[in-house]
Amino acid sequence: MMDKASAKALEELPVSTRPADPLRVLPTPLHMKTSIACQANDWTSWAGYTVPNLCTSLEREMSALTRHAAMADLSPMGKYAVSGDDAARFLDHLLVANIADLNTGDVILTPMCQSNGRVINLVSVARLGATSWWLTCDGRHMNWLYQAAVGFDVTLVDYSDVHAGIMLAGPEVSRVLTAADLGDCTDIVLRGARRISWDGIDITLVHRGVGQVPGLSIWCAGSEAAIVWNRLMDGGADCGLEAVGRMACETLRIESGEPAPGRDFIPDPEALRSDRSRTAIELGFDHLIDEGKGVFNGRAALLEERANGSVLRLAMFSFQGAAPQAGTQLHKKQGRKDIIVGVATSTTSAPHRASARGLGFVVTDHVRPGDVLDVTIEETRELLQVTRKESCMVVEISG
Amino acid sequence: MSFLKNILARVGLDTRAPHGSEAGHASFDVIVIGAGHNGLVCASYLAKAGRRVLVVEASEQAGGACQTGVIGGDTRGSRCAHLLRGLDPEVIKNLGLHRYGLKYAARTMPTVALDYDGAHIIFSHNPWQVAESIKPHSASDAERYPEFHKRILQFAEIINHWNGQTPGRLRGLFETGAFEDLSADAKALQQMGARFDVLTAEDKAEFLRLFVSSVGDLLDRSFDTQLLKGALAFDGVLGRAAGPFSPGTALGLLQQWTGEVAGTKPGIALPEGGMGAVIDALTRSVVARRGQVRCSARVAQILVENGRTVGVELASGERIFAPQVVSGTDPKTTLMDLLGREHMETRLATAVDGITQEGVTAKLNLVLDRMPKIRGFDPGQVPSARFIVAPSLDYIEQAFHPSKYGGFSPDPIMEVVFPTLNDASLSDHNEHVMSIIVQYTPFHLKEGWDNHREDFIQSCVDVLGNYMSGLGDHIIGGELLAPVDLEQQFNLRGGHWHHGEPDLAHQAMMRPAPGISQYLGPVKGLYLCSAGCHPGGGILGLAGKNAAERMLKDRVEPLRTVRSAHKAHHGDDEVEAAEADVSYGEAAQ
Repeated sequence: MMDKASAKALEELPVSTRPADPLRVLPTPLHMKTSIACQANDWTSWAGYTVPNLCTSLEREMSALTRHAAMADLSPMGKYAVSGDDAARFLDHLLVANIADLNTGDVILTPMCQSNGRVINLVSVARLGATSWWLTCDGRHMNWLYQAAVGFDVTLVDYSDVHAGIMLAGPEVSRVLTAADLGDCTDIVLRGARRISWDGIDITLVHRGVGQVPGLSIWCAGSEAAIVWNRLMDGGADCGLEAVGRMACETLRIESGEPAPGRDFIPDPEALRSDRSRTAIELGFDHLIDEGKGVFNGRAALLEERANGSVLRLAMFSFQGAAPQAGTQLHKKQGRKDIIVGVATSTTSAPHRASARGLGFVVTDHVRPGDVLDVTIEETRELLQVTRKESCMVVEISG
Repeated sequence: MSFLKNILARVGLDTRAPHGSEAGHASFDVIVIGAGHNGLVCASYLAKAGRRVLVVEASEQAGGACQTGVIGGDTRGSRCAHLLRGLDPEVIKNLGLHRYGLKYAARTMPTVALDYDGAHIIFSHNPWQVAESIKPHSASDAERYPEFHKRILQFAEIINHWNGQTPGRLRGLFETGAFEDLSADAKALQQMGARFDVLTAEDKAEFLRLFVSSVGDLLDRSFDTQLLKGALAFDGVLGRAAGPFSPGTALGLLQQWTGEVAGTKPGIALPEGGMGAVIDALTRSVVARRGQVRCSARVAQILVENGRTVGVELASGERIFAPQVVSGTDPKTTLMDLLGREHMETRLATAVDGITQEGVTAKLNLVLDRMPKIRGFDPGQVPSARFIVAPSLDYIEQAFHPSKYGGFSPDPIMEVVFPTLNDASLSDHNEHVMSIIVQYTPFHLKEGWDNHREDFIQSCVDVLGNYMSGLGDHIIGGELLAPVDLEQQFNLRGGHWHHGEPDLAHQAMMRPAPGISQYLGPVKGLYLCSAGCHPGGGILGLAGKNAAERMLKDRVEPLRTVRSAHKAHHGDDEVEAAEADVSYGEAAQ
């Protein structure tokens, strides 16, 4: 047991010189706010930070998201500002999408690949000015950005641990913004990005629609995050605005078919064998690849894959019963043999829908949209391990 | 020389056609950037195979670091590289360099490890003779030497075999990471090891150990005599930013011993007329095969259209088109400056950016009014040899230390040659040239080179004065070429003789950098043939030969649609003006 004096001394040490504790999980700049909202006291760890998993119940949160408006803490995301004369050339080199074509205020979600075409992460890129860009992603990539910047005249600033992020989504978001005195920015709910000063606080608003649900993300300095949260909460009081946890955000993500790193695909640098990670085409970003664009990371490999066809493709599944665990294999009868033709990588029970949904990959040679595949679900029922056979339908295959 | 003039005139007539390009047509099959020895070897091989070759050289004179020039008064000498230690015999034979005028002034030069008391150790290709000169220092070392000599030569033979080949490409490890490519990598490595079969089990183990160990460790295990160890270690560290106890320097020793001259191994030769004579012979061999060499034509940019190389743009703005471009300038300059960062993916650009290229070797050329007296040799009996000042391993290590921190040692290690002893053509007034390589001279001197040149020269002369009495009184002229000068005058980036540090991480399939090998550039139609590629520096000519073989193997796609014609850009007048500057190899003579 540590005595009070040493505990205090430890507290007073600057953050960077504190002894590293591998088990230590950091609070986000919004922790004080989210801990009040997190009535269920159900937390989860995200990129080394704690965020609410559930604030109330999944049913109530999904209802807020799909019928009213909801707010969530996005602070653990990676956040990078890129500026300089070569910024557009640099990003064009780094990312799959045609970046130089974006106008000021445009936003795009694009894969960031290794030279073998395998995805490191998905990055949301917003053009804030002629030479100023804002990048966010679920993961940390400063080292990779730094390496990629060799030979380009760009300035990279990593805001990942000093800035906070708030997701605002739902059909009533425009009303929330207007009530919070951000009426000028309601267009961003549908598209675009902008950096503004909101009553003395610099905030960056970036469109972030998830599936059918309109929304945006708001980024600001960590020290001012609580004020931004309060202003939005106060403004949205009459619009049914509620804080939601990560589970609700994940449900929405899976339903909208957006793959996520660490859940649907292994970011390439983390894969022990490179062929276990996924290419940009397999993840459904074929439409972003522009042959006319010059060299970008993964160009040759992706063009080759486009010509030869991919083995796997991202697919959306609808399950007959409860959602199986992530990582469940999907089978198909071929003659007498039972062959594995897919895997469900992330699943959700989707309380507001009739059937459970899942994202995953299927072998393109064997599966067509509308096919019904077999799932073997293992679960514990009344303290017993049981196996039951169910079926799932392939709703959609990307590309 | 009239036959040569005839050839030149004929080639000159042939090339009166505009060497720019009409839309859709390239005037050349290959453009070689840089008329250094590797560029010219590559050009000559390609021309021999019937390709229309143009060599463009930035300087007024061909040769790069391999040239003869005025070093003081009327006296001429090899300004940069000064000895031939293994210009590949196959290259000489294939290109007929002797036919084109390459002659040796001396072909089996011994190496003299200078001893303060005059008990020099004299190395030659005959190990028993060497043993005789070791005897006064240590009888047991003298007994051990022949075995050591034999073993190092045997190992050097394996290195020599690798040098002549294009190393495998480790795609799995450095490019794709895919499983099937990793298995192919394993096979490529296995193939390299196939050469091991000539070694006994014990020698195999020793060879692998040598590959990664330091020359200091190797020599400490083998001998007791400090002078012997110092002289042998000198070869291990020559041209490298490494001390005798740095890993990988044992490999340096093996690489220096691979050289063969006229059947002698390890061979050291002095070309008649200085190192420029090698370039002259190579230039003649290119021109005789209807190739062209243009000097004062600096390439500003390698032109890329639709993901393939289409030619080069010169600093003058002139564009020359060809479906293949091969660069004899160093890989970092070629890829980062001439090709451009935007044509490389991140992993490759990082690897190229990571090439260490700061030379630590200076050249001091002195003109002497007469030969100095060398301790231990009778006046007038000084042999034509390569003299080494490196009395012990500790001495070398001490000389190395300051260079790491931007300083130079007051006691440098040096290699000295008196080319005028064999080659009277270099001096008209019976003067002597003293050609000195000074190792561990930093590129960035902490206090700047401007005010410390004299101190540097003085410390070199002082150290040499210990072995050559009154040396200072005989100096009547000369020049110091520190690494910064080598960069400026010879277009050697970082003043690095090897176009990139030949450390263990940049050898064979990892040379010039992991992910770029087999002489292939990152863009179709672009090739590399400089010392920055396998097998590395020294006047070997093998990078040029291997690159040419690689290029001849690849299918050449003709330039069907070259959109930008030269005339459209510059008009007829400028084409003619550019033609007036053309020199067909004559500048090199």
